[in-house]
Amino acid sequence: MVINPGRQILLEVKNLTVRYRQRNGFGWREKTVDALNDVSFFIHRGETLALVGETGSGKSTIAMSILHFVSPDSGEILYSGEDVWKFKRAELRAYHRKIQPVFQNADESLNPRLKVRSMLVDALVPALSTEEKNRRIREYLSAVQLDEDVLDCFPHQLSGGQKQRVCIARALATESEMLILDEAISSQDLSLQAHLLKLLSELKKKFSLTYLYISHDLETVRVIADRVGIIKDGRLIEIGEKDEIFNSPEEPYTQLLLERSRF
Amino acid sequence: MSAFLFRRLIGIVPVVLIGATLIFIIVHLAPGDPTTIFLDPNAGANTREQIAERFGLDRPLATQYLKWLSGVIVHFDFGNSFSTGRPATEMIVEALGPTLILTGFSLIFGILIGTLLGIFAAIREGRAFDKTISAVMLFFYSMPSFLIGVLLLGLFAVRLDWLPSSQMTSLFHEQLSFNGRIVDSIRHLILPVTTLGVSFSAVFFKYIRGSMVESLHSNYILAARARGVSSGKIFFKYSLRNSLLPLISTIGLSLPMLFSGALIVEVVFSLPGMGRVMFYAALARDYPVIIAAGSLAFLSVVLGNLLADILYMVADPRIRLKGRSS
Amino acid sequence: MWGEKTFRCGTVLILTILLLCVCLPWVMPQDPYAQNLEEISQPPSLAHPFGTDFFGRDLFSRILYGGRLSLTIGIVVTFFAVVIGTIIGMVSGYFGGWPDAALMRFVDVMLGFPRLFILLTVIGFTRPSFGLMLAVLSLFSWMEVARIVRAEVLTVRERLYVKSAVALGLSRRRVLFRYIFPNILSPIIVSATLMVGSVIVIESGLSFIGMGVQPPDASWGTILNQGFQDLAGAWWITLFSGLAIVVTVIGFNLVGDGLRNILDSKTGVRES
Repeated sequence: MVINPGRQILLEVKNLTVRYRQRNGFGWREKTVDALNDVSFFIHRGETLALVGETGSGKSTIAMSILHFVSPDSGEILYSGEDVWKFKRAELRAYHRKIQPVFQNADESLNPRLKVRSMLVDALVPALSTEEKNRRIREYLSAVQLDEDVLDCFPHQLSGGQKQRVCIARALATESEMLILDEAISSQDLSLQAHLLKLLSELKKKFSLTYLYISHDLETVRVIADRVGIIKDGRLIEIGEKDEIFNSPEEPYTQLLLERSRF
Repeated sequence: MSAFLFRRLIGIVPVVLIGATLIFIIVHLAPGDPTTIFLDPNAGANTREQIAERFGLDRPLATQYLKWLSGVIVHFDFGNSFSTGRPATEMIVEALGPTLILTGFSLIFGILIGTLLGIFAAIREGRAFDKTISAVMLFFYSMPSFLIGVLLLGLFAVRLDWLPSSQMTSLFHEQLSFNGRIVDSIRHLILPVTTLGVSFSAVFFKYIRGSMVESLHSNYILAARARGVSSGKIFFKYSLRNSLLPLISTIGLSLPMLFSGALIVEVVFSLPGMGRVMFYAALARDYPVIIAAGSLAFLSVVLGNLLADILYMVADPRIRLKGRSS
Repeated sequence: MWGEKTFRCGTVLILTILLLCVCLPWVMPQDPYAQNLEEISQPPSLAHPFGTDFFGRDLFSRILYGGRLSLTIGIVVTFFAVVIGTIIGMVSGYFGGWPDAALMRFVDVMLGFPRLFILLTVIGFTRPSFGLMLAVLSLFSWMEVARIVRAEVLTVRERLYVKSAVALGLSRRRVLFRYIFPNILSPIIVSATLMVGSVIVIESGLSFIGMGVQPPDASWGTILNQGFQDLAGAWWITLFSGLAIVVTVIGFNLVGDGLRNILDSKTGVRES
């Protein structure tokens, strides 16, 4: 593992452990299941870190924990050196605007009762003037390559690809520093995936973003990632530069994943 | 399980105490003065004070409350009725008999008829039989139970004079032979039990039919059909079993219905049950009886809810997670 | 929406009854209080389609006027109960923690009161009045709504669009009213519709035992009580006032069930 000392660490996850309490139907005899066990990693500013694992490996729990939605049983999450789980409400709201999620299911991520315009307005800094808001909405829409007609649509009137672009535009509109892309393009078809990957790379440069890219699909990871971490059964078993992982994986599980993705 | 049950049972105690206290407060703060009921209009202020003193109403509310509370906790004594002078609990226990007989039989009637018709309607979903029964049951479901009683009473007791219209027994009940007494009691019970029973059956019908139809359309039933499982087995083994357990918890939840649903029916048929005791105690501002009856009704509701919760958990043994992964 | 048969039947029923109760007293002015001593307890005839009562008043007019009162009570009580229940359910479901525990315990306590019993105690003790009945009925009818709303909020709160809204740094109030409330509105409307029917039933019961609307004002329950006094003679009073209640309640139940079917099938499509 190479740590480049010249670069600033934006997000650091230290010894993160999350347990789910599992009950049987009668509500007695609790047992706990480790969703995450002692996971540590960091992300440099401007970098794309990909976390790869199978469904149920706990990779989404990492995202939820960073997003402050699932509380860790132990461990810390540091953003620019500050412990996220010690934020007060105002600090938390400011932090939330800096890290924006884009989830796999765009359908689920958009309020079915709001028009696209209102969603984007909600994401903007409230203090802006109306003209400025409109200007920025147009800017973000063109950045994700959407027409302005979508502004007056409800989510169910949009196609899957359009919905995912709206989600990305919304994530940009908070002037975020980091996007958490949790299987963000996995449910789209292949040609659209290629398109969205290209778009994501462009956006990253244009808005100087940092990406945490969570996926089960090594092919897209190969395109977008700078560094790659492998998650298995709630543990981070291997992490390193993309070329290291893809060319000379140490863990047998990683080798297995790579072999399977060659098909 | 036992630890969980114990926790829930302990949890009942504060709820019931709070409930009984609230009933005490509501009853005492509600406008209207019980002494006026027992007062000769010509009597002076002196007599009023004497009556108030006898009922303990002259002391501050807090003192009355503490005295009442200690009586309840230590002796299970809710005080003596203002109007009869007998212990309130004794009057309640006496009235409980007719109410339990009425509601018990009605509940059995309702569950049997409602469940059976519900099952058959669900099996024949969309056919003429289902449509007819569903329409009839919707009619009864939308009907206040006392209205069913009034109509039955008007038809069978007043018009046709086939059955007695009021009371649990005839005036000459004691002079009848043993068999005669049983026949007499049954004749008196037919109308009120049918009234409440029809009302209950409409509720259970709606429930059972709904949940059977829903489960018959679910994926696992479709899968079972695709595997070639016989229709009979699908209905009774898969669908019915899944609908019956929640039904039991619905019965638990309907326990309060036994009290309030029976109340007006008891008034209609002049049955000496809880409903009538409550009704006349309220009219006579008979504090101890109202509070005792209210607390009992409250307890039954809380117990019914607990029963429903427990049965619901037994019926729905899905594993609950704190959150979802991936 | 109109294609759902249950919903259509119910809507037609309710609109007919509403129209009759609201408009007809003006169109066909037979004073419901006017006594005609020549025509005491007359069975239905052309002049009096529903007959007359013991005081010689036209029953058809009285039932229409009574319907105004019964429907007003049903709708007003439902409105207040739904507002109270929605607020309590939303606070409880969204904020969780001790406010949730306290509010749900409170709901348990309130559900523990048999509603009719409380009404008896409070109303029986005072002079029964219209306002008092509205207040007591509203205060003891919101719990079911609160439970439904809480359960819905708990589900919707976990939806990704709510999480996304929280991640936008929106205030809790904004998340609650802009992202959660519009998405739980449908079940609230369904339970409100069903509730109107059950409130009308409760009101009729109260008025029937003389603890609700007081003569000479009339609701359907009051008229039923009058019919009960003379069940042997004037059977038509019981029959027609009873029918008025049943038909109205059926209407609301049909609309409620129909709405639920429509919403269920919609969500079914959305999930598949």
